[in-house]
Amino acid sequence: MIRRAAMPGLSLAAGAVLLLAGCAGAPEKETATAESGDRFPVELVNCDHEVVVASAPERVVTLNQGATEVVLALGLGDRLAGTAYLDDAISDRWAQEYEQVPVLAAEYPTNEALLEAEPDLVYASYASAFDKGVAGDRTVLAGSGTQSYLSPFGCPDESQRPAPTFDAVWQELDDVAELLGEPGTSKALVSEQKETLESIRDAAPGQGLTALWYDSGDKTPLVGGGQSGPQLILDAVGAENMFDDIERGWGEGSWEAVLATDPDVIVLADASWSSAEEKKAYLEKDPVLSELTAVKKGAFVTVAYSEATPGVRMVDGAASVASQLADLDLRP
Amino acid sequence: MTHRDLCVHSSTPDLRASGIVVRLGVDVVLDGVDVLARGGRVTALLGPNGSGKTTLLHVLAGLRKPERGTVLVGDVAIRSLSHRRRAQTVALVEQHATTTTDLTVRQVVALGRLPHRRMLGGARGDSGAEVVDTVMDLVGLTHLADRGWTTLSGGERQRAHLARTLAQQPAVLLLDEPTNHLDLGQQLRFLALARDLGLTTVAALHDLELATAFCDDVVVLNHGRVHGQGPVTSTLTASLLREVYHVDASLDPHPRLDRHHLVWDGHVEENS
Amino acid sequence: MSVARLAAGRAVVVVTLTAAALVASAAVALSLGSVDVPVARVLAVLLRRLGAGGEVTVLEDQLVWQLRLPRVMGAMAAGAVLALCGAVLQSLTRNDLADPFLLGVSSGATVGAVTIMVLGIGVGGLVASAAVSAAAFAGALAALAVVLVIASAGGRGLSPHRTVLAGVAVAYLCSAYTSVVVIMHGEGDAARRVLSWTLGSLAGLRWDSTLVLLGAALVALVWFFAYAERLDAFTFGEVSAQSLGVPVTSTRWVLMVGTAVVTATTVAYVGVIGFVGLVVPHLVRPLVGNRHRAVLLASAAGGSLLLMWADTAARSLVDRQEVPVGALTALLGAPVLVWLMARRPRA
Repeated sequence: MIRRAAMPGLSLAAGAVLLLAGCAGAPEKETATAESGDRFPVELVNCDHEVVVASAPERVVTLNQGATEVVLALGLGDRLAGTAYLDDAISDRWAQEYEQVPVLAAEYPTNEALLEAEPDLVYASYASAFDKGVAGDRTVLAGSGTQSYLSPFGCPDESQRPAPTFDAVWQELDDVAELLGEPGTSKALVSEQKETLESIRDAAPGQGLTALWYDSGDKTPLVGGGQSGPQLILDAVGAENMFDDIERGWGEGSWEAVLATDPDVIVLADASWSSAEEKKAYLEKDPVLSELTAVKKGAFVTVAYSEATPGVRMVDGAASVASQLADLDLRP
Repeated sequence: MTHRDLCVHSSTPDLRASGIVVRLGVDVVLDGVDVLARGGRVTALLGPNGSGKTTLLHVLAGLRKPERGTVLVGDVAIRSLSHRRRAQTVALVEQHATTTTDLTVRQVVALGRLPHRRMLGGARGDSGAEVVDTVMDLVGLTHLADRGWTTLSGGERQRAHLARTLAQQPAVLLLDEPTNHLDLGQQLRFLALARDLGLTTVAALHDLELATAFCDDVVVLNHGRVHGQGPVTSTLTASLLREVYHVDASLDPHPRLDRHHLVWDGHVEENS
Repeated sequence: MSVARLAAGRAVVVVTLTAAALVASAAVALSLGSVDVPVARVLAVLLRRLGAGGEVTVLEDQLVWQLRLPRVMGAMAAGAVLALCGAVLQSLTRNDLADPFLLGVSSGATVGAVTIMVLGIGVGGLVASAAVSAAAFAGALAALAVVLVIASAGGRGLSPHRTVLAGVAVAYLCSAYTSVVVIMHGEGDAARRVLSWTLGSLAGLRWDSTLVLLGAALVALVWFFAYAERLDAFTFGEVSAQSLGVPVTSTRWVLMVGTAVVTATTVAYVGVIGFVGLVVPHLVRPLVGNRHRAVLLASAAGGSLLLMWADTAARSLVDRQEVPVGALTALLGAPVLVWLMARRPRA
């Protein structure tokens, strides 16, 4: 399938996607078996924007860490002409390939710095990458011969964003692989991730445990809610998220509720702006929170921030949480 | 308590300033001013706008340190006194001092007790409330004691200021154009009141007629220098008036009253 | 005499009523939170802690005594400090719009806080929130020092006019720094955290910080009360104050530095909470008159009450989320201010 609308929520049900693709009037076409030359042009609708790629992009610029890691995970790092804006560090697994790629800027590059890299495709995780001062409007960009792809999780219109699920992540991998003319790469990666996830679910090292996902903040904690990475990871390991009633990915929790629930385990998000170490020290030093069972027992699990946001590393996050939980051996 | 009991100073001292020099940036505001205000008398401080009257009053009050020169109350240098002691000795009615804060008349007058009070406690020994009552009675404001400041007329406000300064129980009273913005009746009543207090008083005035009627002595200031001082009639000569105010005028004996009054021939010099 | 006594009596009545309202609403505030604790259980916890015995659960004690009480008391202390400082500065500068942040304290504190929050420059051995507090305090004092140097340059004491201008200049300078740092170096939710810090929050106050805030409030109350009569002398301006024997320049230095230091202490712990210091003095003057002893006492009581209510609303208006308390005080304060200004008599 080469023409597809990235619609929110629908990726949950593959049938519905197919149905809708049919409505869009796009003919089915076998791409996996076709010759490389027949794979183009690739057309797809991404965040309400029509992307038409005529030939395999050779100078891809990725903005934001998530986008960069997707391309590296697909093994297509040699297509990158530049990257910019890391949230933390690129996973060790791809560090070597990453070092071959020019870094255009620590955060967003200026428009000129971006053009200097002569990109034929700009791939970004957040809509802010297409602000005036950065890559600029996507239609204007297309007019000057540069195509663009925005992670569906970052669509400016929130109603177009898919529900954050592993399937939606895999869908993005498929899209990107297709745009780059190498659909096979995503198939292999996705099936590998599916296997890992299956084995984590089978082991269920969090079975029977209630968890607090502590993202950041001290006076009022920002916690993992019921609608995104934290929930998916806790679901995968079989633990219960004490704030699963927050109908967002992350939201403000309350220490009072934490005291009342007294969770079995605390997951600490590790980011450069709010390290796990810092949060652990705060919990241990606070006169009230230090009385929590999990704090007294040292039942902490650490996850890198970029492994807990919907993206190619989320399965790594689940695996990491699973193995730390197994080591803690908290199950009743 | 009568107003005689207000006098805590054993005598009414002379106020003497000598060699006062005040500079404001490059401008010399007062240039070697010598002034004598006799004890218990009213001295008018005259002079055109900008002649330095207000600055001189601030120096006399000890509020402003002159570049050179000294001010003596009796034989005590005003700048040698503590802030509190100074305020118990010299009191100043500022020109047109007002506020948006709606204090009552009694509260305004009670401000004058401040130099006699300790920081956290009450009065030192004497009963401040009695003094406040006495001075309000003296200036005729008792019936307005609980009225708010903003509801008072100009004359009432000046009398409240006067009562406030009297509550300081000073030996020297300084008045900066106290009759500005008052109607004729208010002007006459205010100056009569001030004159009858028997304090050593210096009043900056614009109106030569009022100065002639209510003051014993005058000091005439022009461009920061003294252009004459002494008893009113012998000082305000026709030549001095021409020199300072650029008008042809003189003080002549009043046809009916036992005093002088200002006679002006109507001619005004250009560019005065 | 009788009317003066009546006015003094009214001040006593107002302050007593406010204090009673404080105690009553504190009991209600202590029962509110994301976990239900009935007022009766709140009282049980308090009585047990005060040595009267009785049975309470560990959770009840943690919620009421360790989490909510420090916050409620902290709100009261911070409200008192801000209102006291506002009252003092309004009189000292004869400026109705003066507030505790006149001398660049808030902008300086923000510079300090942002430096830690965004640039993440660590302060050895301190956890994040303590480091932010320390930096905010240092920033506030640095800004104050700059304002005072500018305002007093060229002698002639600290003129209120020059002080206000210097405060404005320093505030712009600080906000330029803050914006640049947040835009150029902000990671993750830095901008959100900085914004929420500048709107103030009493969340997360524990006894250690609250005791400092209570100390600051006590110091402010005693210190400024001692200067109450001198402040009365400023009613007709500084020449008049001087002629009443008030050492104007030293009084101004002492009070300006004093208000700035206690404000800085407060801002370090609870961020910038606006409008309390501006509005409360205007609110109490019509009730207790204009003499500073009454104004200061009533401002302290009124500021406590206002901020405690605002904070209780801030944490209970929206389920699961805190409304920034500074936004609430502004929402309450702005219309009140407009109304008060409209009905003021002219001079």
